[in-house]
Amino acid sequence: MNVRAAVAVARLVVASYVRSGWAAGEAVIVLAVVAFSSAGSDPASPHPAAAYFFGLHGVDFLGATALGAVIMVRRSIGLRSLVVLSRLESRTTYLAGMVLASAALRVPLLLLLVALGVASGRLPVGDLVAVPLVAPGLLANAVLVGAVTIGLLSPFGGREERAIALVYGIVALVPVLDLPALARPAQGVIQLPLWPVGINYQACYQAAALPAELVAVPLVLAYAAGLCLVIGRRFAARDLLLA
Amino acid sequence: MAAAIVCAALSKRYANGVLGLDGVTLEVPRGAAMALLGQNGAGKSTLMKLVLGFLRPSGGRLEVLGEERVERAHGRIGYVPESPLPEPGLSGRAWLRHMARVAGLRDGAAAVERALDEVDLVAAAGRRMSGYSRGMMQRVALAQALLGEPELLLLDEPASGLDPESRWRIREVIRARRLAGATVVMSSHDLAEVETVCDAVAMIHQGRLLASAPLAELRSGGPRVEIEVGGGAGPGVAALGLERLGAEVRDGRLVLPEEAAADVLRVLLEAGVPIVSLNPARRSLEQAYLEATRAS
Repeated sequence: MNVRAAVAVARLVVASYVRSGWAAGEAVIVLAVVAFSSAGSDPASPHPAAAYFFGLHGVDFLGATALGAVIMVRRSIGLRSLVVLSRLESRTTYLAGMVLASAALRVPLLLLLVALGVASGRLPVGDLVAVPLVAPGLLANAVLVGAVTIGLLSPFGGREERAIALVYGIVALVPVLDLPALARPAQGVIQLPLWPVGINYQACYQAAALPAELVAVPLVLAYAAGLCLVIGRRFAARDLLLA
Repeated sequence: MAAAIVCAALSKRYANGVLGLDGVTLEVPRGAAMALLGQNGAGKSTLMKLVLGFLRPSGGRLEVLGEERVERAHGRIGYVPESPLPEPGLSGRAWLRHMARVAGLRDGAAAVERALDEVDLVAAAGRRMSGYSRGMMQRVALAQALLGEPELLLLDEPASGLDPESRWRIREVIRARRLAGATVVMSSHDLAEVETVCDAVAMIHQGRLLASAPLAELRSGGPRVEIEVGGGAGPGVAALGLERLGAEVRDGRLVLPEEAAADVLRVLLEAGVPIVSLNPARRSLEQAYLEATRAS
């Protein structure tokens, strides 16, 4: 994989996505979720309003990320991507470029979310000090959500990858109480890889700095990079049938 | 120097069982301009996508610019797809600059300006491509393929559906690149264009290679001669029964195998038919193509 070429692909994808107006669509989603949400606070947090705001909208943010990634891939992939791929020595570079593009767009979207929170009064100016505590974990999780979404979409991911993700999702996330007692420890083991994602989300809904984030944030970013490499290898082995 | 493209018994069977390419053995010498001819679905695009590494061969061997892992040659290949769809929201210049960065060109901005100049698109380069005509879109796609002065140009129907001015421009660019030493492989249904631009032809039919030869050799069609007779080869000549000697009437002239020339001339002279000229026969590429596909 060529990092410089991946950055160049990301720049092209971002330019195209922004010019097409779809990036504004993501902003509208964030605007809508803030507009239709309620104000609140979590007294257990040192920043009660920020904890409530990011606990609620952190999930919306990840949802908008997944939706944006789907649209980005659908827009970019097709005959036009053959021209880009004809210039790259590795298809993984193209996948990495898409993931980088999705990641790069998270920063302005988070700033917009914060700005809307302040403008609507749901995120008091005094609680803005919590933003640097929340942002690394939230952005890292968003990068991973973007990478998973892009990696599972055709042509990057095939049926096998989607089936594996679905099975893992069901096995790891089915509510513990619904499981037989014997299966609960097994689920704990299966959920272990999700630990850093959970830590990042915890920092988000507590609006607090968690020491574990020092490990969790790089680990989640490493997941995204590893996913690119694994999916990229499988993507490279397949026929590229684009219409 | 190794050939630009070497295919040895190259086959491609798609996942749905369709045989896209069937044991094609073909060599494209460096510096050549080869046209891939064939009907729609004959296997031209399959071959081109194999060369680009978009498809994986089911059998045989493929080498592109000396690389068996063809993606490694991507930095030395320029490609124009059949329907170039650059980013409509970007200007031609902005898109080309992005593509120059993707290609890892050091002097990207200068390379873009050179390519724009080469396809005569400097004046419109700042405009959004959504406002480009089909010819302009094709030219900007060609400019993209020219970035980095690639050793191999792969052009899928580069001039189809274009106005005469755009076609001429694209032909001139291809000629200039050939003079600079690039190898050109293009697929086209426009045989007149192929005759103008290319010096070799590969005919593909139902996934199989029917013929691959220099253009001059294909057009000569073996040792044949052409006899022009006074007043044209009309019913009077037809009545002489020259077809049993292998002669046929084509565009008012008699075309026959070289070895039958003496017998045919004798018959004509005995019948008092005036002979205007006798020359080596040349087939048009269209005739050569039709003969090859019908024979298959």
